[in-house]
Amino acid sequence: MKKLTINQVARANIRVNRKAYVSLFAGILLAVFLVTATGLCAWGTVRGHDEQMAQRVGWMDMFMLGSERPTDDQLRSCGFFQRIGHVTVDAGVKDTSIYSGYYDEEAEKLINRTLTEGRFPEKNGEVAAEMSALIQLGQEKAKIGDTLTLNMKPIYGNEEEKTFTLVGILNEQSEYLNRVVFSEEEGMRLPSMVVFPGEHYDIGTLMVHRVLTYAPLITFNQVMRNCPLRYELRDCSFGVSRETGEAVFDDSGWRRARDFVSRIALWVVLGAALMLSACIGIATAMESLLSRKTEDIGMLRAIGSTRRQIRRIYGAEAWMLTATALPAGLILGILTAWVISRLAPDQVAFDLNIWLLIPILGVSGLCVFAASRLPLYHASAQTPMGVLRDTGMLRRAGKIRNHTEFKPDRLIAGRRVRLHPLRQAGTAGMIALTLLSTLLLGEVVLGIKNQDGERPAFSMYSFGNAYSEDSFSQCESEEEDVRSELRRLADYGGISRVQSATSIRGNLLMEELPEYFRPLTLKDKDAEGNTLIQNFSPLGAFGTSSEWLFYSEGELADARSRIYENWDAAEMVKRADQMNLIRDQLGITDKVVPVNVMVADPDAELLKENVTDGTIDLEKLDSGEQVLVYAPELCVRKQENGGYNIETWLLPGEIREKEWDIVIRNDYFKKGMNLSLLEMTGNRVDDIPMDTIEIGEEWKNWYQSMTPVRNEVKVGAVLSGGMHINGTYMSGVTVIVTEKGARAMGLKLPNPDTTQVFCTSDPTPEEEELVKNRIQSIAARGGMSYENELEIIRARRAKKLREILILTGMILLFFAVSVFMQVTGVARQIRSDTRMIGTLRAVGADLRTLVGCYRLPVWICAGVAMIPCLLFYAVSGIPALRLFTASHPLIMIPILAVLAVCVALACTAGIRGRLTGVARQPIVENIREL
Amino acid sequence: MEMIRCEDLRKTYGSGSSEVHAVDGISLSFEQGTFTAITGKSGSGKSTLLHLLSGLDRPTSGKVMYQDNNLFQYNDNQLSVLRRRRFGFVFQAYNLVRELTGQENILLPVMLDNRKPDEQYLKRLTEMLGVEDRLNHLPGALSGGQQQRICIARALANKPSILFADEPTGNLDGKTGREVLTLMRTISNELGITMILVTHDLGVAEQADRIIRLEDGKIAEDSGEGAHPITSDGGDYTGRKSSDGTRRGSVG
Repeated sequence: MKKLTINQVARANIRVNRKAYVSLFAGILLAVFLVTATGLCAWGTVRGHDEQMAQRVGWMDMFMLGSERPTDDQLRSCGFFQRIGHVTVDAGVKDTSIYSGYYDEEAEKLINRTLTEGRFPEKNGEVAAEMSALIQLGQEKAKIGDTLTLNMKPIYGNEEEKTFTLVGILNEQSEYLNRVVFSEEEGMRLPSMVVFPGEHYDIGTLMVHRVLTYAPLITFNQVMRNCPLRYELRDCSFGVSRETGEAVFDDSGWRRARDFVSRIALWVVLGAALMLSACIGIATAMESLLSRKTEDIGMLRAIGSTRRQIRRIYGAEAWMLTATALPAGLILGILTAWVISRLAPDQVAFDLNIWLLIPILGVSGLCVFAASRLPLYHASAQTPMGVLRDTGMLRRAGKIRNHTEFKPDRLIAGRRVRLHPLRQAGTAGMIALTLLSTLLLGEVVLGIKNQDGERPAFSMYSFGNAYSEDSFSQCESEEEDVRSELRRLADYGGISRVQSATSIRGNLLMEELPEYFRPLTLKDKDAEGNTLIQNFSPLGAFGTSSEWLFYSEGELADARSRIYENWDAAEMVKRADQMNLIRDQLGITDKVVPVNVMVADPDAELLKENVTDGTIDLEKLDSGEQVLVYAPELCVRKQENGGYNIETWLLPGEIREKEWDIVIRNDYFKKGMNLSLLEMTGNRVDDIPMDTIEIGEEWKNWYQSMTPVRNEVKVGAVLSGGMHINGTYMSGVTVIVTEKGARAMGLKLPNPDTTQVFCTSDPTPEEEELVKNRIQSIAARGGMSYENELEIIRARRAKKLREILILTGMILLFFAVSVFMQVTGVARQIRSDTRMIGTLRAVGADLRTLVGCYRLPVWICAGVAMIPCLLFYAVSGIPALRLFTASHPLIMIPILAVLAVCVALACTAGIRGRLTGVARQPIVENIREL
Repeated sequence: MEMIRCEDLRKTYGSGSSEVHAVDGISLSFEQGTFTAITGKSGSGKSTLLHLLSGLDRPTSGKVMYQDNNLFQYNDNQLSVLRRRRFGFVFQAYNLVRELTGQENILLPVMLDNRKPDEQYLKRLTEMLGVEDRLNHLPGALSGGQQQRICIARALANKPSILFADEPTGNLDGKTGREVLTLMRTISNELGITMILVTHDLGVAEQADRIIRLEDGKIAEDSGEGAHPITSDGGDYTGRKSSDGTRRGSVG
């Protein structure tokens, strides 16, 4: 006789009773599918980010601008670098930050210089450019083959008009790489236009930049701390952040790890939750399957099967079903990941790496193994008679209260929930996921509304138009005054308001200096033992130190004796001398304290929380009678790696003294106090004296050429904490005046630093075009740049829409799986309960009663699923966690409750359908089945 | 007074050559308060007949008239109400709801009917059946005899008009079986319940007022006391005791 193997027994079991294995198969299929989909999506998130970063900054780790030292040989031999590429800049477009140049082969690879359209230049007179450069040149409509006539300025050469043929559009990179490069020196940027090497200019030179990759395990911080060439590298090199795709000054590993974790955390949490749910599904399906086989198991135990053999027989069934479910689960998972990557291409890349299959198969197997263990141990641990008499259930029942009056359906259902509390756990988990996805969807949808509501439609920026090397004065802008035109913008269709902010340099004239202004000088050593000296002052405007204000005669004389050896001393003396010149000119003995003056119309409602003293009275501000004063509290904390960190965003009531090493509180500015405010404005930039160490006649003439504007004003309100006005954030002590107030006070205003144009609702394309053209024209004349925020909003909306689609898909999937799991679970239960159903029908139960026997667990599941959602809602609402940007509205709770009810109703409908089928059979059929 | 009757009742399973006539044109009438035993060999159709009479199964053709209404013209809800108020059913395999205690199982038809239980009656019933101390136990904790007694108590809890019993003593030993039957008989007599019982136990059948023996789905013999079977030609056929004056039993 042939020997019967366990696999053959398992195969035969499945073959003869396929219907009974449907739920288990579905559970395993779901597990494989979820593991595959979440695994690929998590991997795709990392890959997607990498690709996105490669588009922005290529594959380089660092770049060096201009400097010829250290040489390539030195860089190669120091052991910190691996690959070096060269970028040559030959010229810039006049009055722009756009440069042209070319790359060697290595640089082209490292910087990932690719084309989105066309080809690279192959001869002189051809150019390929980034679209952002074309837009800046006003050539956004230029097509391949068009000619561009540009006023080029070769490096250190003379202007030349050149005509190029546009042959290609480059991928966008310089926007990111040039973001932190502050140098205005010629050619100190990476080119956003590529020309053919050797493009001829009459006079000019070439600037060569280098792009580098680190040797393995090296980071920017390590280079800057340990590389023997670090001193030469310090002034010319920039790290490249693979997290943000921008040039930065550091690239610490922990931040990279944190960003990596945060990127895939959602998938990990989601995947874990889904897999847990699938495991519970497998476990309950297995438990239910094995509970139907109790008599078989009892028989096998009675004829001498060991527990291990029982586990192996039924375990083999699970593994066979896994093998069957694997291809389908993998294909479904891959398809889902592909769909998600299509819906959110900028967040998830589709990368079917064959090596990923190993962890996917491993985790799938682990799910099945872990989920089937408990039911298998349960089933095999019973004694033969225990199985046949179901003593397990009797044990669980313990002492139960006998009812003399009851609703039979509720009693039976309740008793079942009590006797088998975990039977519905899988469904409860799935309903919880449905509700959680809905919560996320709600937050995303409401997030769009909130963010859109706050964002301006257009922004305009202007920097340095009130140019001055002087801390006490400024000079009038050379650009045309566009303020009146900006005001008229509000009359355009679709525009609700235009708000702007302008920083100007003012001075407070004071008899006595308050202690609040006294700078704090702290010394410490960094990790390498170098001495660090840091100055903190609430007057931190323009980053200048106010130490000199508090100098005694002796200290000033001491500083004066060191002006040729100590730069700081020279600066302090220079300021003191400048102040004395101003005092002489004004004929006063007051101290002249440079202070930032912000001209902007504040939103009183928005700043309500920042007011620490007084009230914001816009009428008095507009009349020039009052001003507001931002006076921050400085909180200083020593850092672990040496040095001190300073925060100004805490309100006085929020500061816990013991959490900070030093706290400087505003004890000077109070509502109602008088301020003497001085503005000094020169006429021409060219008149600004040279930045000399000694303050001589030139400076005296400079101050004398000005008409000082002096105002005596009252402080209407004092503000503190983290705040911004019309998009400009506050840092040091700032006097805030409204635009009308500034005019009433006779202050001379340059063009605004920032202007924000808000729309009432989405403007029509015609309105948008009209406003855009107008703003473009104003920006061009005012020397300002502008951004069409509507495009950003549209891009964000498109991104949100994709998120909504993904979340909606997830909700529908979870909803369907919840209902499927519940209905198939109950259908399985109904099949094994046929005899009970027949009995209940025989003693007079109608369909409603039968449905009632299965309805209660469904509602309990829906109720239980609400608990984690409500907890998540409560936890995510804690302001300190800041999990969501949305308003976190209370309406989400009834929405979740309604959804839970919908799931329960759908399940009940499915159950009713199943029971109707059973009730159509004659009762005797129900009873006879078993 | 006639309680229930069937007319030309047929139940056929399968078709063609595999067609089986489990009940083949049976017409019977049962008087109120009588105790009828239906006997016959295995496969003779006795259980099927009982299921058809009690409305647990639907016939291929024919009628079951209860109080001049055809059971099979009732809708599902009407039949449910009828079963919970007028019929009691004792199953061979007890069929207790395993999540409910003995008492809850007994109260099931009363509770399904949304009525207050007659506590005195139920107390007496459980005392008579000897299960008053097993009422708090789940069926799994009861012996076969105890489960069967609970099943009988459940069938009688609503004071039904007709008690159908399918081999109620089949799973019990002889002594317990006799005790159970005596109890059923006593209670039925007291309440005037019509009892129709299927058995192949001669001793059990002997206790009935009337014995009907089935063979191949047809009536082979009917002791006929209190019964008025209708012949196929429409005339009355009243089963009588056999000529020697004894009731004929049959062994299934």
